[in-house]
Parts: sequence; structure tokens; C-alpha cells
Amino acid sequence: MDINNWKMQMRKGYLELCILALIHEKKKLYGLEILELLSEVKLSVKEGTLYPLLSRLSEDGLLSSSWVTENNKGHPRKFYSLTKDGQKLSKEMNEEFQNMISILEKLKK
Amino acid sequence: MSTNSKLESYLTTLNEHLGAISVSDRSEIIMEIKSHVLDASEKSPDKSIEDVLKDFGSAESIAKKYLEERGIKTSTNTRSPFTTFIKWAFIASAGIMLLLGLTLFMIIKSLTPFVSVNGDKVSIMGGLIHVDDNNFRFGHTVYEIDGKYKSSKLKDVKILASNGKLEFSASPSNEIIWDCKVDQIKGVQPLSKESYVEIDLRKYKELDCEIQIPAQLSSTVTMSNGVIELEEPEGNYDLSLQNGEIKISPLDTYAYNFDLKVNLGSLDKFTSSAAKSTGNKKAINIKARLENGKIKNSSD
Repeated sequence: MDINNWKMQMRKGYLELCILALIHEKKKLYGLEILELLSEVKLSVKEGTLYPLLSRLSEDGLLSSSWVTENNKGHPRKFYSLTKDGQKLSKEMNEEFQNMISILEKLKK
Repeated sequence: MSTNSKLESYLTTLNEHLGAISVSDRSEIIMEIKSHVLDASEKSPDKSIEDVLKDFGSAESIAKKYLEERGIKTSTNTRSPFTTFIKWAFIASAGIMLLLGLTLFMIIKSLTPFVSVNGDKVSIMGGLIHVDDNNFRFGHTVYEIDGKYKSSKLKDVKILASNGKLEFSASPSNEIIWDCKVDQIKGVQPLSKESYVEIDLRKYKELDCEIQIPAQLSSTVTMSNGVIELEEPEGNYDLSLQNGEIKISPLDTYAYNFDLKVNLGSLDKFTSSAAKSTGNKKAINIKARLENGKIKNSSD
């Protein structure tokens, strides 16, 4: 089996989990900030992957967004935060992921 | 092109390729990416707008990702109808070529008698007919036919056959006698021609015959695939076989003139001898032409 293919499949769900968790934690974030925070923890995501994903999560009603121009200077930024559905799903996804990890741990004992 | 117009042109291309997404969503996407690019190049002064755009990848590929995330098929949006046409035309022609190739292969396979000679075993037409020393069998039902033909005048014999086994030996009388196993119920009708008698067995796709021919007659045998066996021949034979095996067991007490040729395969040793121990009898002429297969000396 091709490990890269497996990684890609794993990553798809994992990335959504992480982004939702991150926005949940920080309450309000814009795209570039998300990229920077993810790269700080060595979860490298391409711009071309993040923005389409954020767009789809908004479409699904998990994220809400608003354009904010900070201190009335510079250009506006699109800030994302979790909707109620987003918060609920983020919690469920976290629980499921913890469950998956503990199953794997049990299997290895 | 200035860096700003590069960004604008990138965003224009992106907008064009987001076609299937609503106008308001599209403008949100364009604004957000513009904001990101400006932000990122401001934050790291060593990065130009071009560099940031490079990180994004091509406008077409980003548009494709947006569409994919929303479950919109991208083929019609990112590929021109011409490319699609070429693709399908290519697939169609490849399919036709494959079919033609297969058909041709099947035709060649069905027409070409495939013969393999392995030791004593000869396999013809991909194993449809198997021949080995003691065994001969058909793939189909077998009918038995037998008959006699009395040759009042001294005529030579001409035998034509397609596939199978023909075993020749000397007739005890002046009659041609045949005893055949064949694949269809059709009798043998020898035809009396001017100077010879013709026995045409080509209507049988498979046959296994024992034929006894009066010693004073010369026989010409023409067969496509199979085995021709000469059991202690006492008359002259002129054999020609495309594929298979010719087995000859000469008599010790007779003198023979052998003229044997195999195009592809093996040829056992046969010793021609002058008419010495046979008294006033002439030497018997055995001529054989085989394309593929082997000529076997089975006297010992």
C-alpha cells in the first residue's frame, strides 16, 4: 500500500478536526493566522488547501465569518468562528478521535 | 506586468474558473485570497506577491479545489470540450484497435494449425488432437466407417486428408481396404480417375484410418495435420504433410530408397539400401515432405 495515499486519506478528516479545534480554542481567526498557528505545530497546510476547506466548512454551516478591518487601517480580513453546529460537531469529532486513539492503545497492549 | 496587476490577473483567472459557484461566494473567495496575499507579503518583506501566489499554486488548481470541496465536478470547467473530445476519441479508437487485434488473433489462432512435437507426443491445433505413440483421440464423437475398393486395373492411389491419423499397410488381396474412425457419418467413395484412384477424406475434420493398399500400387498421400504411419511398406509412397509426424517402420528384408525432408523439426536416420537381398525385386521408393514436425523411424 502506498503510504502517501494512506496519509492523504487520514489527513483529510484530521485536518478538519484540527482546524475546528483551533478555531474553537481561539474563538476568532483569519486564514493567514490559521496557517501560521498550524505551521507552528508542524502541521503544514498549503494555502490552496486551507481556503477551499474553510469555504466548504462555512457552506456546511459549521463556520461563520465576518470581514473586519482592524484599527480602521489596512485591508479587511475574513475572520472565522464556530457556529453552534460547528461547536457541537467539533466536540463530537474530538470525542471520536480520542476514542479511536484509546482503541489503538488497547490493541497494542 | 506589475506585481499588482499580476495579482489581479491571477484573481481574474480564478474567478473565471469558479464558474459553477454563486457570484456572491465567488467575490468572497476572491476578496479573501487577495487579503491573504497582501497580508502575507506585508508580513514577510522578503516575500513578493509573486512568491505568495506561487505558494497558492495556479489559479486553475485552486478553483478546482474549491469546486471539489463543494462536490462539483470539475472536468467540464477545467477542460476544454476539445480536450474532452480528443480524450474520448482516443479511448474509442484504442478500444476498436484492441477489438480488431483480438479478432485477428482469434482468426489466426483458429486457422493456423498449431503443432508441437515433444518427444513421442505430437499436439495439434492447441491440443484439439493429441497424438502419441499408442494413443490417438478426437475431441468429438467418433463414427466407424469401413469399406473396400477393388482395383481391377493396376492404378495408383491418391489420398487426400485434412486432420487425423492415417496408417498404411499392405493389403493381403488386390483390394484397397479402409477402416476409419471419423467425426461424421459420411461414407468414403473412391473416385476412379484416368490413371489413379482418388480417395478424398478431406470432408472429415478428424479421422483415424487404417488403410491397406495392394503392394503393387504406388500411393500419394497429402494431409494437412496429423500422423501418417507406414507399417512395413511394400509399395511406393509419396507423402506430404504440413504439420505432425510421419512414422515409418521399414521391413528388414526389403530394399528402400528414402527421400525424406523435414523443413522444421527432426528427422530420424533411415538407411537406403541397394536392391541386394531382395533378389530381382526393385527397391521401394519412400518419399516424404514434412513442413513442421518429425519423421520417425519406428522399426526398432
